[in-house]
Amino acid sequence: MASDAKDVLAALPDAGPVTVLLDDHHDSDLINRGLAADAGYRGTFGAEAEEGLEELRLVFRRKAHAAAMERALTALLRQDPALTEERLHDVVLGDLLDTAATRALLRRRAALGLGTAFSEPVLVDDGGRPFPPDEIPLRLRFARAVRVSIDGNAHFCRGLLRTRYPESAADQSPRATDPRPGTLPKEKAS
Amino acid sequence: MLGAFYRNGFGQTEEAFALTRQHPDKLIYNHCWDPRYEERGLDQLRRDADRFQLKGAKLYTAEWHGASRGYKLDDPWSYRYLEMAQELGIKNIHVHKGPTIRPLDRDAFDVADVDKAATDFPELNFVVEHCGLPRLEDFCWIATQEPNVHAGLAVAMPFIHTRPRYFAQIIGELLYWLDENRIQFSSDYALWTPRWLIERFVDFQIPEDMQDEYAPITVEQKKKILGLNAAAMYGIPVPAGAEVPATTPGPAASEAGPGRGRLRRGAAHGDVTCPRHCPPAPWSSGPGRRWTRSSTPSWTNPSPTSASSAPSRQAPTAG
Repeated sequence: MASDAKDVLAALPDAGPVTVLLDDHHDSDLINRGLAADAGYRGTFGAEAEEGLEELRLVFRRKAHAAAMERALTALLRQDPALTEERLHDVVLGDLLDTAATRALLRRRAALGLGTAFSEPVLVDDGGRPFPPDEIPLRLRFARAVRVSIDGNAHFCRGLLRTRYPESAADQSPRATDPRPGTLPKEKAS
Repeated sequence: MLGAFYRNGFGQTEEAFALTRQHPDKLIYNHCWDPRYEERGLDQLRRDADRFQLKGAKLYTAEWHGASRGYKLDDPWSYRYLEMAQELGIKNIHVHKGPTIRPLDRDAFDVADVDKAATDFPELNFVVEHCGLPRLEDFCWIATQEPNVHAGLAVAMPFIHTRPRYFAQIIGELLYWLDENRIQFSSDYALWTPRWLIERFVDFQIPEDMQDEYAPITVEQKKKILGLNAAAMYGIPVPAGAEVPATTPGPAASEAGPGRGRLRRGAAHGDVTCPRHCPPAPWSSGPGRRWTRSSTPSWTNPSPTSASSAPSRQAPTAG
């Protein structure tokens, strides 16, 4: 993750030399040495790492795509009560609302090498293939489970971060589970 | 258990067993094994089953053993142990499948091995502790296919405090993919005194603005999750008055909320989902997957451990 951060920063326009340091972690020294040398995961952890992280990165990119796809389609279903899940088969990228969720979906598709043209179908598998119409509700449902599951990582990590560094709370962007604008959460009422 | 990480192991067999003997009305002792002890461990398991009168075990597939960084439930030696468990009546196999922490190997928490073992040992119950998080979707997909796979809410449960809306999503997903008879409360009692957790769950409701995605949770569902499901699984008597009606309202009833259902499994597609028409699991590549084990969706098929047959006193499990 630290080397991913370094890659992103280095790719910014006009970025000069980039130094990323991991602070206050039990493996800070080891990881910082690896970062400085661009040693990669295996080069950093040596015998502890059996394989590189590329496969794992691909898993995360696929899950991020599934989650973004579900967010965009669920937003569309909410916005258009006449639209049924079955008809999501025909929805193309150009039908989506111009929202942060849609823009995120386009980025996730690009990261997986999927097309981003307006005419591309939205509800697709990891390889960009549309699902048979009779599988649509189940596939949407599964994409939601992926989204909820992967969000669990964020909740875990944000919780740990806030416990250790309370001031980090201010930097955290809202999660999908935060109340939608204009609604009042009732769970506190009990 | 977890001998590589704790000076005295993670489970204190003698102390735990002594505690259950002091409070036989409240506690049941669950054991553990490690198939990498092979034949020697099998002999030990036979002796232990006799001494402790075992009904269940907790397995840590991520446990280190010599040069091994973990094992799978579908390893040949694992199967020998599961065969013996079935023979000895150790019916309830709790498997730790949850968040990875260093230095445990990520792949040791993959839930795919539960799928195979659950198919091949239909008489055993597999309770996936931590419900596979953060691979909840993999777990849900398997549990939908396999009627003897259950969700244990350890570590998922305390989200109810820090992230109640996220907890609503987890419990909503579990109630959708499994059913209310296959979800079990877990206290994480090693971390705290869990009374607050129980009280929070009793008071819990899916937030109103999320009820277009997830049906409200009913009192009967809560009763089952908090104790009746475990009581049924372990044959623990339930106090008179604490049972839920024998005609258990299945998931269908839980979705009968007025004006809801567009985003949930509803009449529009409730009958065309798993397993008969199930497409291959998302992580499965290549042919050879089987989706034909049971011909009806698991939620129409009351589990053999249905709470309706539970007698009359309840106790949590330990171990």
